[in-house]
Amino acid sequence: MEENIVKTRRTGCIISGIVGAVVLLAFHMPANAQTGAPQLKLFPRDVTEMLKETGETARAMENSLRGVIASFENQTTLFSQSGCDAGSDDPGCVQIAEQIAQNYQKMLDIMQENLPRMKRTIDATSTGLASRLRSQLGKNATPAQLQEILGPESQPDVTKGRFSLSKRFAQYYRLISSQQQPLPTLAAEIYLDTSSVSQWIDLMEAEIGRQQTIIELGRMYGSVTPEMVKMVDNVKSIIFGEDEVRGTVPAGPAAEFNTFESNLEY
Amino acid sequence: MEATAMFRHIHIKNVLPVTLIALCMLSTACAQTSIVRSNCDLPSSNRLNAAIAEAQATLAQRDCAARFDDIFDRLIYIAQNDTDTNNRREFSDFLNWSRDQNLINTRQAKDLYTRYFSHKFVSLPRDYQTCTHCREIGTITRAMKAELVSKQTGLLKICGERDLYARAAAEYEDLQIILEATCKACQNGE
Repeated sequence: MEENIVKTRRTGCIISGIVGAVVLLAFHMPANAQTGAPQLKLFPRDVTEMLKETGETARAMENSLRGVIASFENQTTLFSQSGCDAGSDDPGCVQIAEQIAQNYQKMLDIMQENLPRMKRTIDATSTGLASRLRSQLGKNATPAQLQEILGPESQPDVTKGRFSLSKRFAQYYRLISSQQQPLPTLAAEIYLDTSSVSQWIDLMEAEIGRQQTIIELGRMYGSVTPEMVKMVDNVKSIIFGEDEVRGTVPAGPAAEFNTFESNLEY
Repeated sequence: MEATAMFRHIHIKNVLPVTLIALCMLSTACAQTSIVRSNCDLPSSNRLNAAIAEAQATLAQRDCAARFDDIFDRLIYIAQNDTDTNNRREFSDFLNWSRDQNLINTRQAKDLYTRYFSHKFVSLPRDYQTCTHCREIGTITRAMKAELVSKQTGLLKICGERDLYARAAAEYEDLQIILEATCKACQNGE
């Protein structure tokens, strides 16, 4: 009889303990866990600061390059219009060609000086974001929960199309600072963008190294090569982008819908 | 000798009638079965509510349960020519009824409704972390693309819900970017 009483008390204690633990857990569990959508912190301070620094580095490089590239293009136009591209050994043509080559060298020097710093900040941003995306979206959410995170807010105002690196990263920094939704999409876009810019910087640094070697070997002086023109075009498209087109991403969910809600909807 | 012959006589005498009776019963049963056959035709009305009533009458016959998928597809087809914002409710009611009749289970009812009439994507897995699904991300993306077409049918053509479809399309684009970036981050972390 006494044994039964002891057993009953023990069972009661165990059950009370479990219930108590569940209640405590429920109170301390974040609301998001109860609703299923994870809480996000995708932009810690260091990532945001790196983004800002990337934008500033890009702007400094753009300012240095702008005049040099403008001179290069003016001189190549003059070279072509003067008939120098037919292989003329006219002293005027030779002089123009030397100036073109000097401007080109200057452009390569500016890039060689600025690209390593940009690579550092870009890679730091990319690594920071990768870590957050992996831990918060990759390992702490199911694919279905990713849609829960998006929410119904309309897309922020963005600069569409291709635009300069500095403006792009300044835009990213502004969007993050203003805490406009949806941040998961913004974080994903920035991560993909920084990854591709990092790869471009690697390719560009390799190409600059190669072309510096060619210049040192003296092959490029005295002529405007298609390689030079292509390199300048490449730099312009990546660093400066095309003309900006400001607009609003078409908003999907802003208007009112039929208010019917089915019990069958997830 | 006489005993054997007598045994044989008794045996035939007892077995033969029983066999004859059994054969009669069997032929009667077969005749009865061949007479009762269910009519499992697809709904023919051009109006969705009438078509749903026809569908329910058909599916109420147990023998027609196997035609649920065909009948549902027919309702989807009919509804595209009978656009109305209330059609979402009509389909919700029909799927709830089908579940109550045990024609489909709750998961199937939710999947069908959400696939056609919600901005949410059932193609997105609901179990395990996102990184686990990265190897099949191509399959998921293709499934989402196909589902977006279903939502175009349901939300736009059947219900006329432009804004809700626009939301589904916008979220589809966002999710492609997020999935690509997250899987890239998962792979870089391995």
